[in-house]
Amino acid sequence: MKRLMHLLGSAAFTAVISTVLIGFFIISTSTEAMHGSVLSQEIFYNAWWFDLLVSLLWVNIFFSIVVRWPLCWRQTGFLITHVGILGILSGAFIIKYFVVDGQLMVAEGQRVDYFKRSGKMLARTDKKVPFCPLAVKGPVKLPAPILKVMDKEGKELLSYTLAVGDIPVKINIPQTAFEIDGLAFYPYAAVQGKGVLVNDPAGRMPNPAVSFDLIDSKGFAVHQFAFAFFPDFSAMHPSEEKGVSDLTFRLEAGKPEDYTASSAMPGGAADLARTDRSEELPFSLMLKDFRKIDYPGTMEAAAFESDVVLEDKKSGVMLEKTISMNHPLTYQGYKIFQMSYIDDGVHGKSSVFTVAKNPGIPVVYFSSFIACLGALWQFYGKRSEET
Amino acid sequence: MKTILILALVFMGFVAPVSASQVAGSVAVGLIPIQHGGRIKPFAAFAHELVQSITGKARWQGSPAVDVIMSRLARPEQFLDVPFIRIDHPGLKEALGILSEKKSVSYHELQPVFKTLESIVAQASVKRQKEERLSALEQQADILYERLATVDRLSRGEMITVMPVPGKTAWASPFTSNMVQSKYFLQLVKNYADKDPKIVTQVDLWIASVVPSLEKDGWEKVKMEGIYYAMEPFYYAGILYLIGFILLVFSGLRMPDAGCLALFIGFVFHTAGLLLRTYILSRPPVANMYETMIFMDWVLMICVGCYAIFQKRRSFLSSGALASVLVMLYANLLPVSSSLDVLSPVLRSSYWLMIHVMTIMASYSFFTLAMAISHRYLFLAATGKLTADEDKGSALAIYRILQAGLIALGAGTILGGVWANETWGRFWGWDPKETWAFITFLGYMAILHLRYSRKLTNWGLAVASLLGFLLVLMTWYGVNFVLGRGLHSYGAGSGGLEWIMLFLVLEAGFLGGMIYLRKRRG
Repeated sequence: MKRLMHLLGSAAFTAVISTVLIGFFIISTSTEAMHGSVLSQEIFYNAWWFDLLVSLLWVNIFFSIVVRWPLCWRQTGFLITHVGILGILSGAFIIKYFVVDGQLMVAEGQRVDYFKRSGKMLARTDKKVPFCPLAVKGPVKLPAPILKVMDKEGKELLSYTLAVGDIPVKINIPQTAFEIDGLAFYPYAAVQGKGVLVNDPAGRMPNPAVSFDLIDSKGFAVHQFAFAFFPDFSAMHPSEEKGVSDLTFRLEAGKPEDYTASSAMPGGAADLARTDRSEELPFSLMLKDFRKIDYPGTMEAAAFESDVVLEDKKSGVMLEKTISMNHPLTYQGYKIFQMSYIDDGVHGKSSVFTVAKNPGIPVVYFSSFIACLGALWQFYGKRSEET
Repeated sequence: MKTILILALVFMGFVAPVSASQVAGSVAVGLIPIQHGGRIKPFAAFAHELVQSITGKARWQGSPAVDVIMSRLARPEQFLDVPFIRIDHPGLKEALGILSEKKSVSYHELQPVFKTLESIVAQASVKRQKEERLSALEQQADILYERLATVDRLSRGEMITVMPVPGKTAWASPFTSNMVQSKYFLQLVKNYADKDPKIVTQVDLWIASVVPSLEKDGWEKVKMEGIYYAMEPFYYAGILYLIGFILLVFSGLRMPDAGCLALFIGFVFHTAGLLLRTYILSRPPVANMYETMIFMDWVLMICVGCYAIFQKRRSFLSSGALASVLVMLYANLLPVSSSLDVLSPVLRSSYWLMIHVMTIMASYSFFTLAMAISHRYLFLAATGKLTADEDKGSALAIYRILQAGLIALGAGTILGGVWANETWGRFWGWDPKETWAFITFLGYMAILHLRYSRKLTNWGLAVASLLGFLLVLMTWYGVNFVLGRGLHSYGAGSGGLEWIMLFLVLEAGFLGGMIYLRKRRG
């Protein structure tokens, strides 16, 4: 055990981790130069093994202190510096896993109480027509639908025959980072109450539906459902008779930010896209006025300013403030920063803010101060260590 | 004040050695306030920036920038026929059908190949949108396109915004405005072209009519900027540092005081230049690549000065002076703008930013100085001229300076995080600049740990200091100019890699040579 601790706290171990980290960073920054920051963030900095490497550095520093314990007065500088660095690394992990940040866009005169998180999720996009009706004359014969997943080239990755009702299995989509959960098939789908999908054969024309959660590698899920017929309810469209066919779900491979999927139905498709996650704020923000102040005689911005009204209905707080570059609004741990603006000449001006709640910051600030102090003590406190 | 300015302009070689009236006319015109690049500046600065951006040099065919612009303004359309648009890239020349031996062309010469150029620029634009890297040809095509656009605007006279408009922030050009002053200025332009001796009086009257429209200290700033361009403080500082180095090294140390004096005068110029930039722009001069190089150099000279005064080690002065000369030289060789530019909103009014950049630059100064002293150490050690005192003293200095550099780098990087957090709400984002700062930190940390654990000899420490500086080079230049990615885009650019490669080759040659000499000596 003692040998292991000495090994973990050794300078040789520091050298190995540092070398690996340096190599890692050279590759990651080169990749970023060639393929952009999104990809390098996804495959390098957000990877579990990067966290492992940094954790090993933490372990190394920690044991470098432990194996020297008890420390003498002469080593105070060493202790303070290394405890500070441990604090910085710990703070970095807190930031990484507990930070809440994203973007908030609000048009002049509008009020918004949610923002888009930095992470991505899969969600239905509304840009394309989701389903196209397909009318089929004659009696409807209902086959069991097959859930199919194909890659970009149309090669089948998964084929799953659906049974009626809930299907209590998680299905990995081979060769992708996605899985399907909560799969259910409703031959006589009906929507009850607040959008709850049930199987209700009584007195209805069959309109089979499939629902499922599509989960990406980060665990972000989106609930997806697809009806064979659209418009989906016979009550709304009693005269229409429609056909059915297999439900096909297609997932395209590509860059992480480009994942798109479509659920193909007779005559149409629903598009899924990896899109921004939305999150509610405990307050709302109204943009009264946005100003872009240019340098005289140019179109070059010298400053962006937004007059906003923050309203927290729960606590009855109402704040009026001007947010500008480097002058954020702080409320309940959230900081709202001026980022940019949109002025397309048609929809008026919108201000784009960054919203951040970062619990690791005090840890990092304090630890950084400690580390710098310790380094000064260590380097200049005792001259006998110099050679 | 004006007399001093004119004398300064004349004696510093700001104007060509022509007739006195022409010189006076040129100097007078150089002080006309003009709105350009988001602020009011002297016409001399405007002309300097314009000629520099079009021709790549501050003068064209020996004529000072003011003369290049002013002498053609009477008929601005003639700018389209002036073959002063610089084109360097052989591939681009070939693509546009321009003879390889031609270094510059006119707007009209390029007109038949506009479509070809536009298609390359459009291709580059698509690539930029896709976050793909641009080829050297595409980068150069972008630059050429911009030069053409500038000449086009110049030929229409619309850039000559010298007339304040009551109630408006944007000034007007006499070439595009019907204001009553237009006629007077156009006549002034004509008189300049005709070498009219009354030009100085006419310009004085013009300036007197404009000055009331300027902000409180606007006219003072315009004059100071005139002095700044006339003084060329960093050019003379570099020259004096070089003289100081030569006197310190090659005169067999018989003229050390003269060497020190040259360095001191150089430092005065250097400081004056920085102070002028600070006053003119109302901010510390650390907002772009050129400014950071000059500022870093200044801190370096303070360090060697401190060593000479407080540690009685004059021997480091020569190393520091040479390093400073090289940095000054590279500030001119690399394609970095030395213009006095306004800042983007994110860089304005943030004291954290200024503290962050200044701390980082201080760390680079320390690393550069350690690298310079290491060169001296390796040379003396390899040639057997190293005394025991020099051996111990130099190694200790390198070690101490690296320690200071590491603390400054660590603190500066954290301060960068503080700035990012205060500005964007994000402390660290593995931006390439941040990542390479971290690599540099790890590298120097490894060097200091190895030294502390006695695994590096004095010789090894000096070699490691040289190698460590390559990390600084990558973080400082490489991230912006080679990788060309990330949020630190205000320092971004392209080109100049050949000069960096030259440095690397020379460095490798030096190191190889010293190792060989050392081995031969056993």
